[in-house]
Amino acid sequence: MKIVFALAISFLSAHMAWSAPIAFDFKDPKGVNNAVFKLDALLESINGTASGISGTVLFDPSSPGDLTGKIIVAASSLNVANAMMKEHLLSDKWLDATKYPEITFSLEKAGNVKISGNEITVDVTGGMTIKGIKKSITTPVKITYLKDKLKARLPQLEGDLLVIRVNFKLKRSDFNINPGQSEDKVSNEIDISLSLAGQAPRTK
Amino acid sequence: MKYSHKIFYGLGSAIALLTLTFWFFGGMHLGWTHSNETRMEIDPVTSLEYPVIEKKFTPGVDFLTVGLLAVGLFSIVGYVLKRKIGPQ
Repeated sequence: MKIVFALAISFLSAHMAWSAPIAFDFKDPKGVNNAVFKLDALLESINGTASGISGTVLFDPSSPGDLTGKIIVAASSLNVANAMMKEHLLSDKWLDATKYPEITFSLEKAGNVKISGNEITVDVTGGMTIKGIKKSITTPVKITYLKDKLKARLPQLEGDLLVIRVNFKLKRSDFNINPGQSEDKVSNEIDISLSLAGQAPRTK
Repeated sequence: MKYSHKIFYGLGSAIALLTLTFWFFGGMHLGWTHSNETRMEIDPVTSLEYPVIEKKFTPGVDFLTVGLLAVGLFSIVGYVLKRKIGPQ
């Protein structure tokens, strides 16, 4: 009886350890994580990037649909090619980066999981918060789970990598970003692409 | 004072030449002036594209417009001065 009990306990703990979600940290020491945004505008489109990305995502390789977490973009890290345009973008009329220093996306629910090799596509529903306004969005997310690949990026660490790619559109009017103003000069729609790599170091 | 209008005409011509030369050799960019340039690179492990931002001044049409407006202003001042002095 004792042996059966011990076996059951060890099986359960092994199963739990195997299927437990892994926490991936998205503060990338390599500085690769980025968001690219594009707005159509007069004369030329406004193409910008943001690199101040952090956050944590919980991912279970045995159950990719259980995806939760939060990605944070530092509003002050947004950059466009024109210095005056950047000043306007961070000003109180547009993003008000002083009052709202963070743009966040919280991953709340995932579904419609499709797996092809180590690539997974899931439809993620989450809350996008910009300028203090939270809106629910659903978007397809491409995930690549790179087991034991952390060492290839950071040789002093063992662990896994989680690569996330997302493309979606937002309306600036939904987030009170200069709503209804200058739409003949700068489009209301913003194209956003996120390219992120999270790391989960393992203790030896 | 007699030749002050010529100084303004000369300055206007110099600004026009400098503006056009700078814009021409800056790539004749028809968009806004850029103070930095973003180059995309690929991370070899994750295959993610990421931006590398470099400081690079690229004069655009706003630069050209400001330069040519300055030329216009100098020319107007030169013309006014010439009229004040009268025919030589």
